[in-house]
Amino acid sequence: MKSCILIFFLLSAVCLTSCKQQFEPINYGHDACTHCKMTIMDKRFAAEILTGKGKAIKFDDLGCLLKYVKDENFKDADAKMFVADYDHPDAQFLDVRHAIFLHDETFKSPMNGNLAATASEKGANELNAGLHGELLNWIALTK
Amino acid sequence: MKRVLFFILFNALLCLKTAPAFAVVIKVFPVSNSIHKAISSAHKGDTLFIQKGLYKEHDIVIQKTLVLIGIGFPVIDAESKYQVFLIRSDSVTIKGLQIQNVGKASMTDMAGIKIINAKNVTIENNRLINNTFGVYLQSSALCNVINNTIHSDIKDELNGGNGVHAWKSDHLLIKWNTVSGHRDGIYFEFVTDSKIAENSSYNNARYGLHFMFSHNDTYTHNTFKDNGAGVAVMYSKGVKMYNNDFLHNWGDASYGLLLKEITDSKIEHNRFIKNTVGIHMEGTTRVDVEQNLFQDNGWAARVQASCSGSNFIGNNFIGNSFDVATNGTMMLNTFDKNYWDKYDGYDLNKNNMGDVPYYPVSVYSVVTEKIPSAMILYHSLLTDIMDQVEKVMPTIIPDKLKDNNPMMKKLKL
Repeated sequence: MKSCILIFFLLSAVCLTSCKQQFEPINYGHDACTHCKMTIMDKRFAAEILTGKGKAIKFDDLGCLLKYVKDENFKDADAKMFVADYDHPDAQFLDVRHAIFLHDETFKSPMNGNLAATASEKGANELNAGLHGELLNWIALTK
Repeated sequence: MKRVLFFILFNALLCLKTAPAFAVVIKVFPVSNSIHKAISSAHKGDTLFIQKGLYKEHDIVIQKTLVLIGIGFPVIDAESKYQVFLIRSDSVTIKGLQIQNVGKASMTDMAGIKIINAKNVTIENNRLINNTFGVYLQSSALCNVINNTIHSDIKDELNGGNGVHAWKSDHLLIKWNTVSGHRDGIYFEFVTDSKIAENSSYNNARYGLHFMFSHNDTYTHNTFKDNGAGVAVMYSKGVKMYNNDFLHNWGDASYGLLLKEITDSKIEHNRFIKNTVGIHMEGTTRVDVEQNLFQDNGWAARVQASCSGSNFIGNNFIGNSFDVATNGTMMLNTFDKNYWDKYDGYDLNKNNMGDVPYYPVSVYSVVTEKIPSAMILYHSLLTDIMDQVEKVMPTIIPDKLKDNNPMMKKLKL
């Protein structure tokens, strides 16, 4: 009986400490970009990688995320990537695979990635009104 | 003879009539839209004396060469909705104005004074208070921003703008300004051949000075103090930083000076005092760090393995928790003739240099570089034992990172 209780406690302890792959909110003005080391300030362009083990890697610009993936040869099949919604920077981050990106030099994003992410093509087109940006999806971006 | 004289006089009169009128001095008083009206009726080269008072005007576009001088700091208030001056002409001067409460917009950067595609513009002795951006230069050249007080109390630091913001410009002079409370105090992006001298930048939310892709610029005699993350210098070549003070930049991601991808630059005679990290170097090539003072920092210098050809020569390292930290064993940088207060070797041949090399990377700085949370055990008995063992038998510390000629006495800088 005693050993049963002990096993139960041990198991629950393992469960509690096991890593959950959960999005970690960015603490703007405090957290630094992993790639360029700059403090993340601009909510519109932030991005995050969640590794399969649940570690959050934060970026101030999607351009930094793309460079990080390339430079570090980041290959983690279970990793999830998120990017801030340009139109709703305080809302939930978008999954990069479902986001539509607009590339335009006038965005002046922190590291000149100049990519704004939107939830839908419609949103991206609305944003593009008056600009001459280029609409991209995640596959085109990572090519 | 008389006829000749008459002819000359007549001609002179003609000249007077056809030649443009002499520059006039116009007084502007605080009545509605008076600055707008004065500017539209003024001619090229005129001087506007703006009298003391409150002017609620905004979006004042200057498209001709004018001199605007404030008498007794007249206040121009943009009511937290609009921007104030837009200079689109060469050789404009703005002096002695107080410009306040510029608004905020998502797509345009609103500024107290915005200079676009202009040359020889002088902004002098102004007060720019509570603006999103203070002075904003875009595609401009040969402009002077001198002796302005640029301050913001706006607490929304995330969306705030920069005190002095320059983009795609060259040959600027930023001198004697005081910048506080903005996102970045002074921000340069794609700015070349410019000089930033004798400014004071403090209490800014992110960086006191921040520049990217800005080549061949000189920074001298500036003070950067109590900024959220210190000073960041990134992706630039030919940077010269002399006689600056980097003081008291404390915090998790704070650096006295953050260097990333910097090439062929000189950092001399600066003082790094009480910063979390004095200098953080990443991906730098051929950077000379000479005759600087590193005092009371958490880490005096953090030199990542991606740096090469950088020389630390003749610096004073005093009272730092860690002198040098690095993240690899490769070291392509030189440390020579520095003074390290932790050096405890002897100088038997009396040449003022220690007889055995100094290894500035302590064992615990290697450990905390890999496991940052191990810092909790710093200065415990265990770590002291590790330090002593490592001194006798070095195994963990990168043995290539050493100062072969550590100075016995503090250098006079």
